Amino acid sequence: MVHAGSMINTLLLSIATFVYVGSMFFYLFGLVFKKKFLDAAGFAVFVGAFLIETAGLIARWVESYHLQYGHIPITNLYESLIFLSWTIALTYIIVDLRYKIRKLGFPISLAAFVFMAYASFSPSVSSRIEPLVPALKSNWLIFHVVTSFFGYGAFAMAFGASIFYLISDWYTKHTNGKVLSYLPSVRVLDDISYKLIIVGEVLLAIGIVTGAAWADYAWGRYWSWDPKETWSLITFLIYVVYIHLRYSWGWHGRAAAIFAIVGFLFVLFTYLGVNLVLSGLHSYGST
Amino acid sequence: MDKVLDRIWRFFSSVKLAIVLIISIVATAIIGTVIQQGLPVETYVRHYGASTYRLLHFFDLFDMYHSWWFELLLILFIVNVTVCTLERLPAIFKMVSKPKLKIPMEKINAFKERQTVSYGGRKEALIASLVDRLKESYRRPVHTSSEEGDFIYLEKGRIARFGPYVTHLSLIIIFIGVLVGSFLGFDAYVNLSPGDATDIVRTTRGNQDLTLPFTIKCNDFHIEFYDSGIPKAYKSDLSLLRDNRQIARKVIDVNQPLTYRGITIYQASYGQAGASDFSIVLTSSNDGEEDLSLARNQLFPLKGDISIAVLDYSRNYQGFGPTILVGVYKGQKLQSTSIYLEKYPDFHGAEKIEGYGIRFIKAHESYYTGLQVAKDPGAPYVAGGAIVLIIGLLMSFFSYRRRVWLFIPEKFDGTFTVAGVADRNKYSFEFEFEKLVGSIREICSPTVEGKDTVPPSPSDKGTKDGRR
Repeated sequence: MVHAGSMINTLLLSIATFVYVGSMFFYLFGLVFKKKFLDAAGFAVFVGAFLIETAGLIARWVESYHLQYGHIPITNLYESLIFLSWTIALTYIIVDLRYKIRKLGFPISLAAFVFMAYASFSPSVSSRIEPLVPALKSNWLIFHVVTSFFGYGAFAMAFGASIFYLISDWYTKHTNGKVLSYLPSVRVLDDISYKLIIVGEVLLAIGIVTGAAWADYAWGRYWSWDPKETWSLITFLIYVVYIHLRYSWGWHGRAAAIFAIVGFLFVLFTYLGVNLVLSGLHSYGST
Repeated sequence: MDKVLDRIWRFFSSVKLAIVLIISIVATAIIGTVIQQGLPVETYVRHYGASTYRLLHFFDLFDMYHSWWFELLLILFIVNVTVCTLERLPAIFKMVSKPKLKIPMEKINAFKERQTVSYGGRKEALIASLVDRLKESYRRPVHTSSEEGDFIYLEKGRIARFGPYVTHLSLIIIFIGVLVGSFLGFDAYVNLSPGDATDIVRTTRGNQDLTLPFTIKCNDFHIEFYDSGIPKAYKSDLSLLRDNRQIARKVIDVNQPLTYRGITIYQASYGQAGASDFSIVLTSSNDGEEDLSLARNQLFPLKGDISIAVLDYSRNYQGFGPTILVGVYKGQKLQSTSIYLEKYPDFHGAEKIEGYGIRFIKAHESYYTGLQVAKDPGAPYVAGGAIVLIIGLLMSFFSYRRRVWLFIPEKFDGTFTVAGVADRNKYSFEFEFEKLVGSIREICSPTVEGKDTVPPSPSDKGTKDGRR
């Protein structure tokens, strides 16, 4: 069934996908030609893409009411990929406004684009608005998904900052101490990566706790070692190790950056791998 | 004996042990997500073969999260966390309640964050304006003097010192909740058809019968489907009875359980029970309309030795909604089949059989309700522990204790030292320290201070020692 309305959200979201590509090229040229105005243009286009994406998500939410399903658009693989790119974009915009690290725009716009494109163009991902199965009809859904996904967004940003750390660090080592001037200093990158990880860790903790509360409310079991639960706990513990290494043993710099990059692989597996490879309750990957 | 205890205590008080245990828990927890847990034995044997099955079974890998070795890892981890907390907490209390207001010169010289600031006026004016102006960003600058000189002590983020211990405490609370739940609680299930009642449920782990202090009666079960065939809602109308008297009644839904005296009944699942009935209308030009209700595969004689039967049913046949497959029999022999759609009665011209038209009205499927019955007196502790966990994380992460000493020597020669240290987060502190020194310079600059000061000469505008 094709409803006239159901075109608007997917249309807006497809447009946002291409606008993200546009901002990515501005950022890329900004990196290559080292011109400030290219970065500024990249940021402006990026914010534009983000606003279109926001409009698309709102349209989708409204359209789900027209279909009489009426639920927030975060309930299947398509919606979760779009929402993940949205949280990453919003996290980046906030961090940029606070720390002025425009250069991170390239990996971030790339990530936003990749998740959007996977959602829009992969034949295995359906963009249809699906009704909710009874288990998902709960007010916990919003808290649980929003906190978890902003956690993923923060970890993704920390991942980007850590990659830049390694690039900058590598450059300095191979040029006898020259500094890669167009990236933030390694100190700033290390600090941002650490701060985003603790933000991500708190959000992930809240995501796990709300998930457990919900499970207890729906099934009388707050923890059942379902693969998604287990992997989110594993990811949480990986960053617990990061935090203790940093606090107790003073790990920072290159070692911390490598740790943050490996940690993000765990985040990715928790988000996508569990659904695509393993089986369990979080069914959005089975479409 | 004391020596042994002492060594055990020290073993458990190390962060290194914590990291080793966490990594072991992570590594083993992954195994349980790769090998599906809790499947029937035959499934494993078929999948892995008998000998591999025996090996994996020996290590409890099919129920590994409840195996003795995994639980041992968790217990060791909790002991580790507890000992670490007890070991460090008293010192932290002392450190926080009695801060070192004065600090010897050798220590100051060892700080990484250390700068000299110059000031052209009198010492007393300097101290007064520093204490006054620094109040804006530090809660309570403390001024003390000794023979060597004057100290101004600044501190921020004291609460952060307790953050990690609050976090660790929360794990202990959660662990207590888990223990209480596993000893005093239960988790069971029961399937009931509408009209049935029972006070016996089966435990999820161990598969044993358990008698409840009341009887659960299923008055009714109701299920709705979306057009696509996936369930929209399922609800059970339940009564709880004791001595044949009703003590509670509620229509439960997924996410809407019924709780009575600590025992909660959840709508967990549903299933098809027994045969389904199909309402069909037969039309013929001679006899008019006739309503039929047929069970699956029940033969209905139509005319002579021709009879029909509903052979199959689909809730959503190729997107066209509920559909039945009807077979036409001559004697006991299947002659032909055709399909009839609930929503599109004229589909295929609604094929007639021996002059009879068939209209499919509705399928009456009979279901049983799957109920989960659980009691967990430990859950409130776990919930409380979870809240403490979040508070502890917020305390630890969004604040950190940093201390700054301003040392103004007894023989004031126009320069004084600012030195600071952060308990952790040293990198962020570098930025903050630079900002603080900047604002101290501003306080000391003549534009702000006015009459009492002479502009500092550029040469002694603060030297950055302690750093190359």
